[in-house]
Amino acid sequence: MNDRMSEKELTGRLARLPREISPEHDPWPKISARIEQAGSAATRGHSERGWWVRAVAAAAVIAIAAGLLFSMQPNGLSVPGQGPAQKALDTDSGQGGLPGILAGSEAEYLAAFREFIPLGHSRAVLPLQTIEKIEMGWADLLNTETALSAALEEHPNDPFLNQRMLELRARQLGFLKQLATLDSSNRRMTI
Amino acid sequence: MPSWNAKAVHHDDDAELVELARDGDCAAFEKLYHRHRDRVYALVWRLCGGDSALAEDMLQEAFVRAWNKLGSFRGDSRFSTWLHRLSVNVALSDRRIRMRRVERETALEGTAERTAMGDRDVYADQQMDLEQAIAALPERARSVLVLYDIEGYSHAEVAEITGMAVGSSKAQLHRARKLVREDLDK
Repeated sequence: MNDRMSEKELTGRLARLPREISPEHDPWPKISARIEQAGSAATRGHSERGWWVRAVAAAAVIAIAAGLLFSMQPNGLSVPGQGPAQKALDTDSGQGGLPGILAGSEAEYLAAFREFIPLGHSRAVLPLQTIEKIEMGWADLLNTETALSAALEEHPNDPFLNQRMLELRARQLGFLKQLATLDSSNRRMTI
Repeated sequence: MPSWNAKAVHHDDDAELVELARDGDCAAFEKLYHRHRDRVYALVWRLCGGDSALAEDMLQEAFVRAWNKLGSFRGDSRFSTWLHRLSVNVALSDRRIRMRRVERETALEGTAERTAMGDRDVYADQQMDLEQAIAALPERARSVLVLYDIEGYSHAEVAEITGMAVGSSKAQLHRARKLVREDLDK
């Protein structure tokens, strides 16, 4: 190689490098063993959304089911959609119009959940840290929801609590949208 | 010992095999594997800095991930394009590579970074010199050079894959070419 090598010469040589190399050890036996363990791709292939979205949806369904259960008991949790927003609306004393906005937020929140179908799915495609972050993030939101719902049960017309619930619903919707974006991006680019 | 495989591969009927594999047909997936194996291996081998053992692991990981993700392949692009992109992501995101990078950067702080090529007689001398110069590049510069100059990705695509800005991709490419030229001029 002479010391006057131009960038054009270099890129030319790079472009002529072979595009195919055979590995010294063919890993197919290991791949075959792993995919047999993983099971059929077909069962995973029919899903339109990633497992984490369904996991969140499943958590939401459980939370709603728990809410239904507790709502039948004194001092229990309220059911989203029949919960703080609706109750606040029912007894709206005209404090700043927040309960109405909150009811709208609740409806959007429930509509977002209805888009997801809770099904089991392999987690093998995501790094463990990502799974933990998603689960912890959603668990935090659910804990906040539980606490706020309980407070609103006792004080349905409290403007501060209604505002907080409104903000929480916005955060939950944002969380779901991020998951949907992550899922879409994962399918399109990260793969 | 790896060897160059110059055979022409026709992927016209990948779609049919992909459909079969998507339905759980391992034999169809194996055919896809053998069609694309050497191409993917070359890609990850270069991204790994010529570490053949690591590249074989990456090859394995890429195809396992491809199998797991076949359901999300919609056929908007060619299967080979999708598979190569997936393989790049596997190679660049693998924890072992990142750990090696950290160890290397710590150990060789302030010095030129070198990645072992092993003692294999793989190529003709001239090609080997060039491959060694690529392998010796710092991680980020090597990734950009391999993806842009060898694999034909655009700077926007390189930036998206590697998580750096487009300007950084261009700067890394400039740096990589300069280092390679200097290495070859020695």
